[in-house]
Amino acid sequence: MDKLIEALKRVNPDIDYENEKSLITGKVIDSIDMTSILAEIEDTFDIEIDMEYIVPQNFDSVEAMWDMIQEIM
Amino acid sequence: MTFIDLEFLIFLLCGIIVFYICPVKYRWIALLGISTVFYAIAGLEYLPFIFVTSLSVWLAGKKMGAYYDKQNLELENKELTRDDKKALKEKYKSKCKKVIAGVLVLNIAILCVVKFTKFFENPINDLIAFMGGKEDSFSAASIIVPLGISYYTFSSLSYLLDVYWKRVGYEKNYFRFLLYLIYFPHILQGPIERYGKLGVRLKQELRFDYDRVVSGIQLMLWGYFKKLVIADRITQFIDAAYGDYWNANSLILILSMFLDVIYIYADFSGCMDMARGMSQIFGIELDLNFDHPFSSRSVTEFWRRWHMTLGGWFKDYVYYPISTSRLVKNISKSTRGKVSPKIAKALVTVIPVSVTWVLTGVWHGTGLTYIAWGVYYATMIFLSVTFEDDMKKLTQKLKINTTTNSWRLFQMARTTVIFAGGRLLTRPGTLHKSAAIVYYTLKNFRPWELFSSEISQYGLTTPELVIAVIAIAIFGYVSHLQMKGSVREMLKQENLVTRWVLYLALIFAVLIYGVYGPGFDLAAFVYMAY
Repeated sequence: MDKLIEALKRVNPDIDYENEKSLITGKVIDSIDMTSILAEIEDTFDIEIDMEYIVPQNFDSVEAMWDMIQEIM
Repeated sequence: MTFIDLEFLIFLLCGIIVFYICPVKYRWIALLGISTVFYAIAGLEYLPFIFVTSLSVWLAGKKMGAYYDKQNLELENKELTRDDKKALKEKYKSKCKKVIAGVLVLNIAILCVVKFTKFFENPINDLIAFMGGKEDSFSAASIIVPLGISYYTFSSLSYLLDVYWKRVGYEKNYFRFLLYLIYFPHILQGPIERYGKLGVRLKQELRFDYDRVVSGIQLMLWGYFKKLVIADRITQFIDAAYGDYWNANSLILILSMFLDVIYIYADFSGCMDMARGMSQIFGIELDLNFDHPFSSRSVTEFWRRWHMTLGGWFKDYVYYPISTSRLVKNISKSTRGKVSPKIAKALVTVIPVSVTWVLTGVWHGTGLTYIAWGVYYATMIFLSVTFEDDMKKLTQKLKINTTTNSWRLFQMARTTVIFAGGRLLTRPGTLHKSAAIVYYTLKNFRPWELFSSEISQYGLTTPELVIAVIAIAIFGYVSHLQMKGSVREMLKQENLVTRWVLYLALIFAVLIYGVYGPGFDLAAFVYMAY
């Protein structure tokens, strides 16, 4: 999980990823940030995120992203 | 037949009666019948188009759903290794890809042919003449443009892609799927609904609820006020001023640019209020399409609040697929660490933003003006994203307190000016005329003449202008209240007399001050053309 938070901080260090639970639905990150987040996650975990995973509920919190990564891996 | 025709109101009333007479179990069938009749009245020749789209998309969804069901069954085999499962998923994904490709091409081709043939009328005639054919033998006027084709095609494509990406399950009943597309409150001008939401809502038990019906009527009434009292009134002023731009005072032209912003907002959001209101009468919520866009602090925020269902569609089905494509990923990987983060971000943003906005422009219209409009917004958004950090540093350096209301107002005004600039590209009709309006705005600077009789020479008399100003002020005030909560809920708290005084005032305002008249075609909604 720390590895994921580090990756996310590289995209936008100002966001409190540990505590924010509605990153997408709360409009904390926008579609432009999402592009960078996807690239960072793919690079960090050496995975490919298919379109079927790109839904708000998979990116609303670090925990949701972590679960998605586990599923893909 | 549009929402503001008397025939439509009679049709709606009959539809509501038929709908509530039917037993709850069959109300969705009644809704399908009412919607099909509405569509057939609009043009019997339109029906084959929507049947082809709905049937092809539904069959493709069913086929893909069957593949995924089979895949899930096979995945239950516990002897499969992780790699086996991956290969199995790939196998079925590939099968589904073949199914979706053909149907996507078919429906996009239908949309392109009916929408863009007019744009290519002259080149087609040139080609015919070049090949020895008769001059001007081809006329785009013979091409049928089915009502709401952009809206129902986008809804059906979203369903197709959502089934392919396993975001929604496939619909087993064709008629349920047809209802999702043809449902009459949203087929004219949207909102562009997703099957995952509207499809589910249409399956709920549609029971009569007095409060919801009243609330729906109130919303419709407010929509009529915005459309008939504001939009259709001020559009006369804008048309007159833009039609005489070489003589008009620059302040008249500037006023027209900002009135045009109010016009498009009142017109389109008014139509959405009518659509959402009448849908509420039937017990079905439609998605919100406007969320106080002019309170936005930036152009990116504006497009998250304006025509939200279209923006969401392009984000999910164009922007993300491009930004997660191999090409953009390769750009991202090859530039990371080699160039500054700002340039790296700009490089991965430029392709998806440009394609998305040019396509959004083309969706709105086929002329060069709409391509210019798309390029304009792509540039604005690209610049705002790329220089976001620099702007933050600049405001810090200049010691600007960004938490103040004045700064917020400045940002909102800036967003409005950018939007007005975009409208100026499309409203006059040609880029040449847009440029001429800018030229004469700079040339005809005669502010001292504004308060003479000149202002009332542009389509509206002084009393008409006063009505417009009062109506816009009411619109602004109600919008302000809406940001605090539901105005209809606030009304509920008022006593009976106050409530009825307000209702009657609104009804009479629409009846007396609404812009009607024989042969008055201004009332056609601007977004119906899409």
